[in-house]
Amino acid sequence: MSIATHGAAQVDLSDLAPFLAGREHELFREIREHDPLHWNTEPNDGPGYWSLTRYADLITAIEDPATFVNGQGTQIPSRRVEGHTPTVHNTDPPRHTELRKVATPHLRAVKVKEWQDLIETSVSTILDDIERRGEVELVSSASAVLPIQVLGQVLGVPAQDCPLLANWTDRVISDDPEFMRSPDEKERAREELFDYFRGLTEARRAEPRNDIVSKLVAARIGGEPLSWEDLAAYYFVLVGAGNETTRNLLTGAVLAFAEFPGEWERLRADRALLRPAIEELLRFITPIRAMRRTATKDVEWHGRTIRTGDKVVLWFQAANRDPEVFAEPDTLTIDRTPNQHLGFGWGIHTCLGSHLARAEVSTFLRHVLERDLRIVPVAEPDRLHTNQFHAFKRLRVRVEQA
Amino acid sequence: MRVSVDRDLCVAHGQCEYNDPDHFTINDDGELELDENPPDDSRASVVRAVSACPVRALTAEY
Repeated sequence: MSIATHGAAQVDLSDLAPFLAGREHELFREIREHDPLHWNTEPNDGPGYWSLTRYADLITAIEDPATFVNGQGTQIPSRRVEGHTPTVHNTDPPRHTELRKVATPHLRAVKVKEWQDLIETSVSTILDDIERRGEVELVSSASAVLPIQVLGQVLGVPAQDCPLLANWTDRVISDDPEFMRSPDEKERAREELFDYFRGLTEARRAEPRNDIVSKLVAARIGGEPLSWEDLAAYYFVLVGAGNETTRNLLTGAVLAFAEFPGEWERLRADRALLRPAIEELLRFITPIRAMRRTATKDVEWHGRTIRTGDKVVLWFQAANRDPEVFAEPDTLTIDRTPNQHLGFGWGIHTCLGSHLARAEVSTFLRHVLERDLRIVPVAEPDRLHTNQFHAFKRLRVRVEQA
Repeated sequence: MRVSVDRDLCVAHGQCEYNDPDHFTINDDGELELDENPPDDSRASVVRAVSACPVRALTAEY
């Protein structure tokens, strides 16, 4: 066994320190090269988990959803934060297919255009504010604000209640001590969310509007309306996924362009590059670092055996830097072609909100370009305590004319 | 060129529509409507749309 292989075996992806320091890619590189099916022990007497980090291996696992299932949870710890009724992303076919079809038509690319005016207005208001103030904390002033305003409108949550969406997300998504004020914080946040949406559900049942809650309330699977438990699970995933992803893509984009200022200059010179740039930011940042599967049978792989019931973690963030697929993977190249990244995952569980996320981030960057602003970090970001989401709590920036 | 969709696999992720809205559209029922014989001068966007399908429901022949 070489020293490098020995080193790779020691890599602990449950240790948050490298993630909090922004040094996770050193670890991913090590195990991607030397330990492609990596065993990780778990804190708190967890059973441990396998990690896949090579692009081709992730595709293989994702495209075999009967062997590597979502139904036993997709978080790395053995838990499901949504409670007893699984969300769509924690469900397997055939139920998954039925649940997915309920929401898909309402989040497709042409539907997203109906919300474009709202996105434009929200971005304008945000940029007016941060441009005037000059130096701001970006997450609370911009990155977190845009997705919440858009998500509120899409779901049908009144604007004055939108901050609640962010609060529930913060408390549910990670174990960050800043948000975990009590041991049952997640359960409490979940129940608050469910209570709120119970009221909204009844309101929309009585008087439907053009929003997702109305569509879900009216939806039928096999002729039957969705149960309250299914609706609640759907609201839960839409709130979390709509919030904690685009927010980090926006903050991550500011950090990425600060690291590669030449790429921002290329975008200023040619705005047609905005479209491929969004894809490259998704690859480079990978807001959702990983999702977990569970093996339903023994699998021999890379000379080792995954046992039935073992957890298998798909590290999208590592696969998106796999040099077998992406030349110079640690470099931001805004016109990278082809760029079939895994920033929205892959396979049957591919992100339901991809079109909305792209619309929000591209509108934000287009407005920054049109105003010819430069958003420059003035301090290191404060990262969320989690290995599963590439998430930022705070980033101080200076907003100036380019 | 010829493009076909496997209806058993397609669940309207809509990545094709994002990459080439001229030849791929998800309708109000969540079903894909596609141009099965797109012109050759659209090959780049059609191929991008086909390869972006996360469940490999699309096939292109050219």
